Amino acid sequence: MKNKKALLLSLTGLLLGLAAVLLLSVWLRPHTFGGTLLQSPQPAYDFAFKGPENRTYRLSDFSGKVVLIFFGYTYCPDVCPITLDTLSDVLSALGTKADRVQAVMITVDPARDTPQRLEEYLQRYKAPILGLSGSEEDIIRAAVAYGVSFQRREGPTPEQYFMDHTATIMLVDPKGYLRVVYPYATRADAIVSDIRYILSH
Amino acid sequence: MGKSNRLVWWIAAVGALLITAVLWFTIARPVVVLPRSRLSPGYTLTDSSGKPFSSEYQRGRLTLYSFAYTGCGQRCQAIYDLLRALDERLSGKALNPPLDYITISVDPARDLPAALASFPLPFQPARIKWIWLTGEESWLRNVVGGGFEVAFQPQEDGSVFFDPRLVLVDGEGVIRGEYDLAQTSADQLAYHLDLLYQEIEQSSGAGKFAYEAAHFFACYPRH
Repeated sequence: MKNKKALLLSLTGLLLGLAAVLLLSVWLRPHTFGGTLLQSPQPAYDFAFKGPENRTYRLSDFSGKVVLIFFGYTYCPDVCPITLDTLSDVLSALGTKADRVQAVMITVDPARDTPQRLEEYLQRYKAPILGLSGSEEDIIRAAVAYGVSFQRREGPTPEQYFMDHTATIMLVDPKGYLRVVYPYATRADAIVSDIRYILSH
Repeated sequence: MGKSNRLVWWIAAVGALLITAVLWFTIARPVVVLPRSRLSPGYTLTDSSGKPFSSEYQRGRLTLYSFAYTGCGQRCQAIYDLLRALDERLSGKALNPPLDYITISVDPARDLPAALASFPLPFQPARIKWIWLTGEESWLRNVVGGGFEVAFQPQEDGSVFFDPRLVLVDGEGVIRGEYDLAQTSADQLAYHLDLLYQEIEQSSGAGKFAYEAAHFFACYPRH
């Protein structure tokens, strides 16, 4: 009888111990980011571009928010719509937390993408994405800083050219540091989970 | 000893164990990593055949960037000597993913693609592809001066003054090492490449946590 009680007690102890270890490992497990994590000692490049109503927008205007930056263009056949869908899904999935996130698309095709055209084009997405344009020189400077390359590729007519470009999404944290770079086709839920983590830490 | 007393002891013991583990990790540094400090600049430049060459082409490959120009002569010899010594150090290594040397010209006015094409490589690397790039002044100023932070300035005697530096970039386009030529040896570069290859090979599954911890605690090489 005494033995049985001791056995029961030690079994319960063992189970409790295992549960504690499991809980601890879940709590202590570091967050796994969905992209490449950076530990930059310098704040991210502070761009200044024209947006809706020809207003100037700077990265530093969004201090205190998570900023998701994507370089693309409105005549982009496939890569940009897919990435913009992802950005839109990220913002929708965040619900009320989306107030603390700003998604931005910077054009790599300033010759055709005026701020007005960008604004009209981006209205087709369900979540708000800010479209920005500027001089080619300023866009080159920002693209270089964010590891983005772009080049013109001829299309069927001189007006219908393409712009090949890097399709990464960059995450700038509320303090203005570039924290995560997502390769093309990263899933929205991976980005959502990173944003939740960054906003709560 | 009361039950609650025992619990307190257990919690204290677990805490002490954790602190010891963290201390051990940061002092003994079982995993050493190269910092992931910033993004390598994005660019579209031109190769020696006159074709556009984009930084995107290096995704998934390691790149050691250097800066020189075809008319540089003996002034650039130390750069080439270091690249040659590193190439020799790497013989017999697996190099997966591949490592490329990319030299970007700091003399865009004279180093047109044709000049690159007729320039004989200072040595023929045994293992490594060596690519020379040039480009429009607007891209080069931003990429070399702004992105790689290598200042360059044409001089009155026709030479180009620049900081001789090397920059190591990983397959995700992140700068992992920046080296002043005067203070860098082939041994150091080979060691840093070893660290990078180890990280690529071992940072999957559970190993990822150890590598992320090493990044978090800044377990960087001491030389």
